[in-house]
Amino acid sequence: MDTDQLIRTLAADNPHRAPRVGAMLTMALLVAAPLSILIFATFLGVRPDVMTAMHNPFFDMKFAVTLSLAIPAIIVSLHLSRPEALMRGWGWLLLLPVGLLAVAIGSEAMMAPAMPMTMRLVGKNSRWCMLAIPAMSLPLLAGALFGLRHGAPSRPVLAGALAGLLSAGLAATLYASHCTDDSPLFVATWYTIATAVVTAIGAAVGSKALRY
Amino acid sequence: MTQSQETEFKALVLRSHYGDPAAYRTLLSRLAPRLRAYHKRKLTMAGRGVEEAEDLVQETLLAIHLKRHTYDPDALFTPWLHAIARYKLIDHLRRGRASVREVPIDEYHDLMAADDHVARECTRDMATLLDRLPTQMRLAIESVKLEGKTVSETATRYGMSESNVKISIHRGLKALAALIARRD
Repeated sequence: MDTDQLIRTLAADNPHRAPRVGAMLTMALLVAAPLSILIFATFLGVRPDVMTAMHNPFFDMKFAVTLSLAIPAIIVSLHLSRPEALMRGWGWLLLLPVGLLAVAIGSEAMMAPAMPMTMRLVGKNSRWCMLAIPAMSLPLLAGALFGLRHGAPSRPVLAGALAGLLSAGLAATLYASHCTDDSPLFVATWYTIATAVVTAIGAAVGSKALRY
Repeated sequence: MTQSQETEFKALVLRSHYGDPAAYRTLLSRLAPRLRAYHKRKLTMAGRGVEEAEDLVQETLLAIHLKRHTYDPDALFTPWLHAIARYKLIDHLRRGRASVREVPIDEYHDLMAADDHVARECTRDMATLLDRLPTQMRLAIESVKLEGKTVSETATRYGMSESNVKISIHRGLKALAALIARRD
């Protein structure tokens, strides 16, 4: 086929209007979310003392941290779905959860310790945490990659990593309501490891799936 | 690149977006020689043959078409265009196992440096890939592309509804792009 023929074919398809990447990502995440919630409801569930826990600022802090990961990751991944987009000026958004965690760890260190540091760090749920966050992330990650495939990221590995970050952030938000370990030290250790695993999977799959 | 080119391209983009088919065809016809010149130059700089350029031009046009919803009308058009052309170039060189470092650093101004109207008649890639599409998609595309039939003429000829022809063309183009992405 010569190029003029291709142009004629493309022109015939001009009336087709594709949805925006944001709309596609939202839809894909909404389809995937019930699966993650199902995993949550089947194997985990909200912790029984949630009503009292809500008055503990460190419990609430977990949601601030996970959402400050998920929401900026969604924003940056949508930004990167434009081919000419650069990370410059956007990367700091991804440091928000790190900053929040640092503040939380600092304030916990200033309080009289309720438990020894090793207890707070290791917690009771580290193994669950490492298993549950990636497991609940996977449906969301698949959805995020599906939605972002609609975009045109110039760096598929980076875009895939962001899909991993955003799905880990969302899954960790669910997980935070189950886990009874509220110490920021626990969050900084185990949530981070779980997030890193999901991010690596996202980058690996993205390097293939997000090519266009 | 001149300011007037950006303005001209952008006007065509906006008119195509609001459903002017002639504007879209004009836009793609203006872009093709630009892309040809760009890809030929970059392939030469990477030590590759210019005969690969036409495939690359077509892949870039297809990507521009299928990803045009990622263009933000408030932004400049040229950087968007350049990003896609460059992405397709890198992808192409990588497939040939050249390293990314061989891609010469370039600015989007490079894209607007020159036109090249010397197209090779047939390119192997698109034609072979087209043969691998499901029949209905292939027929719809071939009718529109080879014989210059309109969507409604194609519909009558194959006893399909017009929306069916449109969907077949669109799905066919997406399938083509997927075949290109999967090929190694």
